[in-house]
Amino acid sequence: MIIEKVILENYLCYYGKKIIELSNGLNIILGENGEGKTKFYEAIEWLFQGNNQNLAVLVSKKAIHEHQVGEEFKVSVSVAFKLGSEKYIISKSFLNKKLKDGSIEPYNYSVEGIEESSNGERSQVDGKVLLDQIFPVQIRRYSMFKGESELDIFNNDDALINLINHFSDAKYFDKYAIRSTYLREQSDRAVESSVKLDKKNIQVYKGLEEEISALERKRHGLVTLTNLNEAEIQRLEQSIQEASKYVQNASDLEIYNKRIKKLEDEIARLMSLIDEGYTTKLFDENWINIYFEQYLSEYSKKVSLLSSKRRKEQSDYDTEIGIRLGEKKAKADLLNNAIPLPINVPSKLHMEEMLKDEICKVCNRDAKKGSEAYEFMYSRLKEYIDSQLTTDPSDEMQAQSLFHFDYTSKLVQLSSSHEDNLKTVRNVKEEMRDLFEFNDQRKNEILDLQQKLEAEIENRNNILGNSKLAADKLSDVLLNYTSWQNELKSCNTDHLNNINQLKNLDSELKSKKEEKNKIDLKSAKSFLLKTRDILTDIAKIFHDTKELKFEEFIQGLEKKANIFFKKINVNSFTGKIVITRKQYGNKNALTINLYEDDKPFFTPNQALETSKHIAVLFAISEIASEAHEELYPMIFDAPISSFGENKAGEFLNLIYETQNQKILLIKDFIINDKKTDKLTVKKEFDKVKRHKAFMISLKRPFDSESLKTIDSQFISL
Amino acid sequence: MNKKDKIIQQFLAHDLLITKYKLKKNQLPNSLKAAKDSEVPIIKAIALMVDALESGQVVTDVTLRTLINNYLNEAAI
Repeated sequence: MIIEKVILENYLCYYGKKIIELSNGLNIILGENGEGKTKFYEAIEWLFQGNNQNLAVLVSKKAIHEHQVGEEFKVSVSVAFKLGSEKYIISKSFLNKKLKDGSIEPYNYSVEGIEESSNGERSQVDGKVLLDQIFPVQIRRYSMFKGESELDIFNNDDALINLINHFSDAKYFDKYAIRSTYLREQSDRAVESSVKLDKKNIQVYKGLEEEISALERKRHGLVTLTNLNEAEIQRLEQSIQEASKYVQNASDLEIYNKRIKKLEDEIARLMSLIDEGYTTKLFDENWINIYFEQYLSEYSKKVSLLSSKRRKEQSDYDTEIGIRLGEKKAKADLLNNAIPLPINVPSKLHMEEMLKDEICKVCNRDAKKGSEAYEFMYSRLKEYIDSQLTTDPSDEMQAQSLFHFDYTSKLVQLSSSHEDNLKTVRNVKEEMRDLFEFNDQRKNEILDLQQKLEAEIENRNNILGNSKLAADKLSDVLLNYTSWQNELKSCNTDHLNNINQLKNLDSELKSKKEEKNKIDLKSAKSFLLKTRDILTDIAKIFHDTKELKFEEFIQGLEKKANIFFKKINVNSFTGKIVITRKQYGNKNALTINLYEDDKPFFTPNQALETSKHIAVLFAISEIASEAHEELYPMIFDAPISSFGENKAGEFLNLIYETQNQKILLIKDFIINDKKTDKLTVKKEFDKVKRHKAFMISLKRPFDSESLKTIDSQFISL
Repeated sequence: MNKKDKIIQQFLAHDLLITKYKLKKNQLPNSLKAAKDSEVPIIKAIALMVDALESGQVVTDVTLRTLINNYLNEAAI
């Protein structure tokens, strides 16, 4: 079966009617992001799986814009299929009416089917029924994939069951396993009923039945626990393996981190000890006075000299004053040491009167001009008048000191004070020397530690350079790694215990069943026993056959997957895809892992992981084709984003060789000229084998901010 | 080879028939019809079940049980 044609009409970015005619082989549709590639995929997805919810959001904005109010227009997605010589068209559509407010009202949603026989006769049928008939839902489930993440189809519990149910022979044997189990149980009951007819057996028999039942329940629980434990062991082993490539690094990193931390702490401690507040110390701790003593000494000498000179001058001055005072005292002695009258007694007027009258009116005696008495009075008056004009030089000398300001004393005091402080200043030199020596020593130590630190950091950088993880994440890895190792150890111990318990339980069950069987053999009717034996064997044959088919299917899937896997990754490391079946209670689950040398390889890169998923999908597709004796198309949107163009090219060349139709939407091989906004296809694409190729691109020009201008188109390459 | 023959062949390929029932490979029938004609109770019982379950008609548990048990109980005598 192939998809011949896809017709989109007013669907999202596809304005008007857009038709793409596909080949029955490999169809490659190139498209830059945002050009309409995914919308094309989603259109087909909507046709196959969509419903009539939110129809308005599927309508092309350009179509709404281009139509007048009241006008009607259609939105549809149609796919034309070809199956053998028959042709089919399935269309999903709805009508829209443009309203006054510019919005649209969708209505008349329908899914139509058209069958066209080989002679060209057409008949209309239910589209949904037709779709399920020609492209069954279980096939479609493994036919359409969007993005790399969707390729991992076994990431849910029901995936395996669906796969087996649809494509494996195992499904045929399900009903046999169920029916034979029922028959065996019934035959068991028939035997038991027969045995219980003998009343002496009832008590023992019931006891045995209860014990067996309890043991089986216990066993079932233990099996589930063991399987869960195994899954946990696998998970831990996977985590440990993922971490293992980092953990040696992580372990070394931890050591280096500790050493680096220690060195950094020591450097920080030493740096905190270094005191280089020299400017502060220059002033606050008198370091500036380091050479003060010699200046003080010179200063002191000068002050001392000055002081001495000053004292001498003072002494001379004092002597002169003394002499004057002596003279004064001598004059006083001439008056018989009598205390002289004040100079203004008698008054000036009386003295002038007495001189005029030439009579001393104090002692009432004549004092003729020229006489001693007259002269005395005259000198006395003169002395008084002079006293009014000048002062006594000795008094003046006495009144004022030789030096108005006592600077010399202050200088002496300052000198003396500085002398006292010399003790502290004298220590400055020593302090400075000690501090500089201390700081230098610390600096040398720091330099030494910094060299060691640089070496440690370089070693750590080498580790980080060899690791894909950041330093903090590596530390996390180490923490997890250690805890995972402990958990794994504990899980393995539990697992061993579970296995031993299971063995013991099985042995106990066997013993109880044999005990019960002995009673059966003694008491039950022989034909019932024989029937039960045969039905037990039939149940085993049916179960084993179902399991065998299951295993064969998985092995077949694994084999096919590995063939594709090798082809996709030709000439490069792949490992081997190993599909393992696990049972959890009554549930089956598949795990698909890559193995390297018989050990799980849990950390493939994204491209390897994607190719693993694609290989499995191709294998399923092939199995599906074999099971339904028909080839079905596969549609992938951006399935190989992680591949890179070279690998993408190789991958596409491989796909080209596969049988069924494939439609791949990829963004590789496109050049977007930013200046001209023109999309072109790279020359490398010429080497890619394909049956048909297209490019999806928006019609230029368009307004990137207005959906009304958006219209995608298919360009055949 | 039809579907029923294919199915019965799958069952008759089981080792148990050789190990426990001491049947030789050439004694194993290769069609449903041959299996139904077998005188080996387990082979005929399997054939009866395949025939019933592949008949395309609804077969209840009770019907199947009656069919198989009657045959086996009688065969065992």
